[in-house]
Amino acid sequence: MSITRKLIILIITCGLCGAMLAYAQDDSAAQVFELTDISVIAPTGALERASIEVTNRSTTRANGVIWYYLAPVGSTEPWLAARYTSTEQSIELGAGETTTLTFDAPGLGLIGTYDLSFWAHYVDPVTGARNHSDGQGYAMPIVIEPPGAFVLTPLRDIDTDHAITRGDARTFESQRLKMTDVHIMQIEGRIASVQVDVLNVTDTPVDGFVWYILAPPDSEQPWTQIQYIAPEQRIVQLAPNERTTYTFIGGDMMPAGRYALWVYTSAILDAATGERGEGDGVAETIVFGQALQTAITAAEVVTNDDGTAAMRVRARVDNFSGDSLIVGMFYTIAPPNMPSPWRSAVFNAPIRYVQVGAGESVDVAWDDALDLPAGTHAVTLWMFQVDDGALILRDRAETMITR
Amino acid sequence: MSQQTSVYPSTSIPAARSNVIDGLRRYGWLIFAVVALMIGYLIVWQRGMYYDDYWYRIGPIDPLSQIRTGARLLGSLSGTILLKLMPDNELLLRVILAALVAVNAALLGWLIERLIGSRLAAVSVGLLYLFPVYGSEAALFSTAAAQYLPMGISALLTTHAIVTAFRYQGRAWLWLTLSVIGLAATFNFVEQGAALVFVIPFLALITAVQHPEIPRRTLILRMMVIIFASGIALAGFYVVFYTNNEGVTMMRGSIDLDLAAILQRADQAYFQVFLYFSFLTSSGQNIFQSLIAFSLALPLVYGAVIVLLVSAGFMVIGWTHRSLTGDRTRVAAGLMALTGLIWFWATLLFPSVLAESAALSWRLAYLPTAGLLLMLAGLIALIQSVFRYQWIDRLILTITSMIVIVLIVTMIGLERVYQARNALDNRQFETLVDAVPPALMRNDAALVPLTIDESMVPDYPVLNDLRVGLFDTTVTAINKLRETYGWQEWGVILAYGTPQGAAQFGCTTRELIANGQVCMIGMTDTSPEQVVVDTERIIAFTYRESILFGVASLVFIIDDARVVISLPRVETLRARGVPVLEQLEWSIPVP
Repeated sequence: MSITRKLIILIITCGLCGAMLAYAQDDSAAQVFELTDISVIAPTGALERASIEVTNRSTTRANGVIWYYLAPVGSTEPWLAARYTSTEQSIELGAGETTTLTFDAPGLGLIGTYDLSFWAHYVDPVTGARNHSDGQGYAMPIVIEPPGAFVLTPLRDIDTDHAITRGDARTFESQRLKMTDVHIMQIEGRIASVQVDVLNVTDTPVDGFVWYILAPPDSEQPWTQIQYIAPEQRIVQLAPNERTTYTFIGGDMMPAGRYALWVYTSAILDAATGERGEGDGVAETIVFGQALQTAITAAEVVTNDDGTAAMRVRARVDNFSGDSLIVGMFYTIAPPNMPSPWRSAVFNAPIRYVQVGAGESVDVAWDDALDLPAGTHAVTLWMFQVDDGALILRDRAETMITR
Repeated sequence: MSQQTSVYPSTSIPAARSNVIDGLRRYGWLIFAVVALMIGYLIVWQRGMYYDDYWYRIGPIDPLSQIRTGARLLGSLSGTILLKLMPDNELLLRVILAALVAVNAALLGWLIERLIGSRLAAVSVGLLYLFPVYGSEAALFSTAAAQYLPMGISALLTTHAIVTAFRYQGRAWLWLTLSVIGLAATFNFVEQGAALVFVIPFLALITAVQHPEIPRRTLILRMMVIIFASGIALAGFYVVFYTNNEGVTMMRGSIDLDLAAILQRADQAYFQVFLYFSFLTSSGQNIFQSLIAFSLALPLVYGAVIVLLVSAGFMVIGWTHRSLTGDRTRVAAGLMALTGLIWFWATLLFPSVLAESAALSWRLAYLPTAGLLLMLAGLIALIQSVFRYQWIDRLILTITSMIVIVLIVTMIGLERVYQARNALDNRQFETLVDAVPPALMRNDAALVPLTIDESMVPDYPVLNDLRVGLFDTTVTAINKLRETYGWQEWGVILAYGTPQGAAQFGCTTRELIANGQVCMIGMTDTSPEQVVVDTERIIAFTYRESILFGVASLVFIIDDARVVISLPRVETLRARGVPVLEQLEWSIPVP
């Protein structure tokens, strides 16, 4: 091979190498913005703000956008798995310039522990096209929770009055004692008093009893499902067409929930045998405990048709208050007895928001793809009321599942 | 040791003091007016944009399109020009608008002075017209102010021109021509200016009483010339710009000349509404009490009231009594009171009451307020001519200044309501823009705001109804969205008439739902219409509890059956971490 030919081959080879190097160096979009030094401000352990330092590594002024993702811990492709995408911030930096951008924590869209990663796109000044420039992840998982959200503050209707007016006419033919007015007063969820006006609707003096019971709200035969019965009060020789008020003071605190309070009066037909006549009853639905309650109605690991495992959780929220409310609910799966299970959870479900009308109940469902490790886990349901931009924890419920 | 003393020559001090006192005597009312104007309009000057402000600030308004498609050529021009000052030069805009208010008050006072010669009535009424609480929109709502205040100037200058035309010795063609041009111009700012035609005969009567030297024939002739010439001009404007004008018909309906219907509209659309907000009803009292309380919640207002009391004190103490005498003056004062009443009713009712969709908006009460104040001026002049004591003047001024202070406090309350409305509009809008990035707000999107919480003044709930929200006025939201997302062409559909939401899906049928579509009243750019939209395109959202929620599904109750419609584009929002409300429910009336 002649020296000339060798030189030509050398020049061509060098030229090719140079072109390849230049191509490798020319990844201009990738080189424009460099992300360094992520700072996380989390005074309570939960993210409040995060900032990122951005440097323009190119030789010209450049525009771009910066944002962050929150993705489940361990996500290798956070752009696909992200549970939160922040609002983008635009930047314009001169060559070699550095700036720090600060981002707020996400709103009320998610709670739990996530990986934080920042991303930069370079925006082509001519075409407006966006090109990936850099990405930077934070070394530690980040806790996301709204400020003060996990302080349990039950919602109570402080005072509730129930008044029932029934008139004086007989309810049934053989009736001797008629309840004309019933007034139930609840203070802080407890029964403070039950006042019953009883009228003798006969022409002769009548003896009898008045009492009340608590039963399930939808029971058709409440006397067979008594959950509480108040001590009877004796009616003694109530004169014809005379009306007397009987008052029950106080009452046991029942487990939280909705009940039917049935008030009865019944005349004594035979003083010797104590035989009673048919009772006159009237019911009112009352609520014990807080006005906003939740319960887990189902929590189980199911296997899908394709053989994958999923977590199936069903919950109900009851709004016993007089207002339509917006509530947010999510569940955590964590080892039992963890003080802050949402921070150490195996899984945090996405938060679901529902509107619950006054006096209404709403069912909420989750079917989350999740292969739960073997062992016993606590499923904790969290229910928040959304109030003027904040989440207030109103109730929680817990159940155990074993895998 | 001798002690040296020196006496500083003090002869100029009494002179200076005397000059100050003399100045206070002469211009105490002017000082009070300036102080009142500054406090009343500039303490809460940062109120931002509201309602049509976005349209005039951003909307594609050009004079040619105004000439072609609608009226209010001058009003649109003044609105467009002044609104360009927003939002970067808001203080300048507020100062200009306050100055326009002052010019109107001065023109009204001067008119009273010219008609019956009562300086007391002129000053009292002028001060009151600085703070037209019922017509407050015309002073505080920027777009309305930019049109109604120049309209007021035009109307009052025209009235002055008419009075001059009546009094002018010699050929009065110039003043007659200016009167007719002025009426046409006033009409072109805002139509209600045309109603001043009803007032012209009464102005002629007052002139006749006050100036018996003017021949009756001349007065009648000039009056007829103005009425007929301006009548022809106004009719011409109506025929050219208003007939077959779809925009006007859509907003105001057709002209309906049925007398019974006119009377019914006058009663229900104007008198009853006016009564509802007046001090005479508990609703009105509730509103005004809330406005005053809301205003006083701003500590600065207490200091302002003290400053106003002091300057009012100077005005009252320094006031120089000037008697009104003569039977002619009394008759003229009585006639002016009558003129004011006619002015009030005519400008309040006409020409809007002739349209099918007559409605009272508070800016429409600005010019009528001048009529009420003319009536008041007549009464003040009557009192002044009967009781010729200095203390009567001072009593009237004291009462006036106290009313002015109450009006200022009320106006500040109203300004704070505008401020609160703007803040809520901004919060609602910013949360929407944060939630929906430009990539998702594509041109094929259908934005559906649902039952937006418009509670802007939680402590004074009665005030929440006084102003409408950004998403309640679709055209407003469209313009703000257009500016924010930088759209040149508008392709997004925005659901119309959102507050209660019940009617907006009323045209949806089971068949449409089966096809993956819904029907709603939507707006694409100009006018609302029924549009059928693929559910895939819908971005439904609501703003409650200070949070923007996407709405994942709509539930329609049709024939007692619940039909759930999922909205996939909202699921994209959820995936971005936007709070999403699972569903909202609507009942669709079965035809």
